Amino acid sequence: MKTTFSKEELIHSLPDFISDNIDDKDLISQIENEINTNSGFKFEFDELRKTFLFLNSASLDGPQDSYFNNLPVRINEKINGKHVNPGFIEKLGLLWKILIPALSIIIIAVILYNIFGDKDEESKVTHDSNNQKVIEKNQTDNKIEPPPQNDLVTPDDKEKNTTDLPKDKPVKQGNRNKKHNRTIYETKEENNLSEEKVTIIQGKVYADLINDPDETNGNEAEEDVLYIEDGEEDNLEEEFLKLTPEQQKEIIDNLNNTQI
Amino acid sequence: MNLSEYNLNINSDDAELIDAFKDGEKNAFNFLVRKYQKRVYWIIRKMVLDHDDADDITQEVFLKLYKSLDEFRGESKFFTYVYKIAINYSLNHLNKNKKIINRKVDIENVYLISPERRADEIMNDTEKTKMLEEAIECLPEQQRAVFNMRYYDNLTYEEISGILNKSVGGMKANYFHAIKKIEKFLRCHKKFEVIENN
Repeated sequence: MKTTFSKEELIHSLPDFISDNIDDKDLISQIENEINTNSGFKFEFDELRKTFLFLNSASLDGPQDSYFNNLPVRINEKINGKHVNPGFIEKLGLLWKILIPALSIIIIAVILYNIFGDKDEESKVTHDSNNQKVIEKNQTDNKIEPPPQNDLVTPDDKEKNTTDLPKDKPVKQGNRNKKHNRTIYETKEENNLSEEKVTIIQGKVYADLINDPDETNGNEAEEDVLYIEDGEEDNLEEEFLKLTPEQQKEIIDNLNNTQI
Repeated sequence: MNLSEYNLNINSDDAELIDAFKDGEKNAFNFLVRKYQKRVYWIIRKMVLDHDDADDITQEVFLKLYKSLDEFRGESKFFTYVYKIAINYSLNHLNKNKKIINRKVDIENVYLISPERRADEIMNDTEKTKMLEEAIECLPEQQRAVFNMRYYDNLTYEEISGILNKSVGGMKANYFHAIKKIEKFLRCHKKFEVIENN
């Protein structure tokens, strides 16, 4: 009994018809009949035939024969686990090989940064047991702005001065940004003279004093800057009153000469 | 029994090699590898097109085969079983790497390999190889698999449907559409005139 195929089945069978891959004789005869009678079907047949002409003449580049000689060897190695993907522990071991050198580099970088990084200059003030205020300064690169003029005070204006520190505590100058009102005494010795030059400054420290080249070079300072916390002026006054009249007069003359 | 007692070689029957393997003679697997390595390689190569990818996948396929051979029951032909593993690994690779499998052939953007060439000039083998690779690369994954199995390996539609778990009629339609896509690709690259003159 002859089988009748649909147009869709006929056209889908064209590639096999062209490749001579059809065993069904009924199918072959119906395809041939369709080609002879249907121009559209014939056009499809011609186009597919050209495609197969190309496919039959073209091929992919293959590997060399030696590839297939050692492929079984490599497959065996893979089966025997020589190229097995590392497990978790092995991966962890590999990670440590990378992690430890990386951490070492980071630690060295941090240490070098701390050694060669910028340092703040600190000033220290220590309290002399004989009521002499000695100020020690460290090197600093920071500039310190001069205090405003209206901040200059005399010892009589002690009411305006406030301090957070108790009176009996040593005077210290730490951060230049502190808002303490301080009284700074500067003494100067010239050529072994006993003359002392005292400068009372309230507020921030003069930059030029801190950055005195003699100071920065570590030389013995000709000018000693004394920092006294407010509230200790009462002690000075008491000490002044304890002096003899002649000594008092001498100090006053010196003060007048310094034009404070 | 050892390998010599089995009297096995590369031309031995698949069933004998598999039985020896299941009996503990693991070296029987080497004969299976040597027997099917080229066919497996080319199944994969025609799918992924790249030699290095094909090399990797081929090794993976045989490794998978080694691990699963004890469970092979012989319900299908051994090579059909191997073929199925190879196709599945290839399809997984293509999906994973998002290869260009649905390149649309834009008729308006036709280009020629060498526009100055005359239509009656003959394509050399290198050009044909390149054209074939690009044509196959145009095919979607399933059409590519069906085309390779039918055109290059001459598998029946029943075998193809068994490997891909699809209907026979669908496989036939897939094959037809794959050829039509290649035809459209060649037409857009104006290679039909060159083909006719070859």
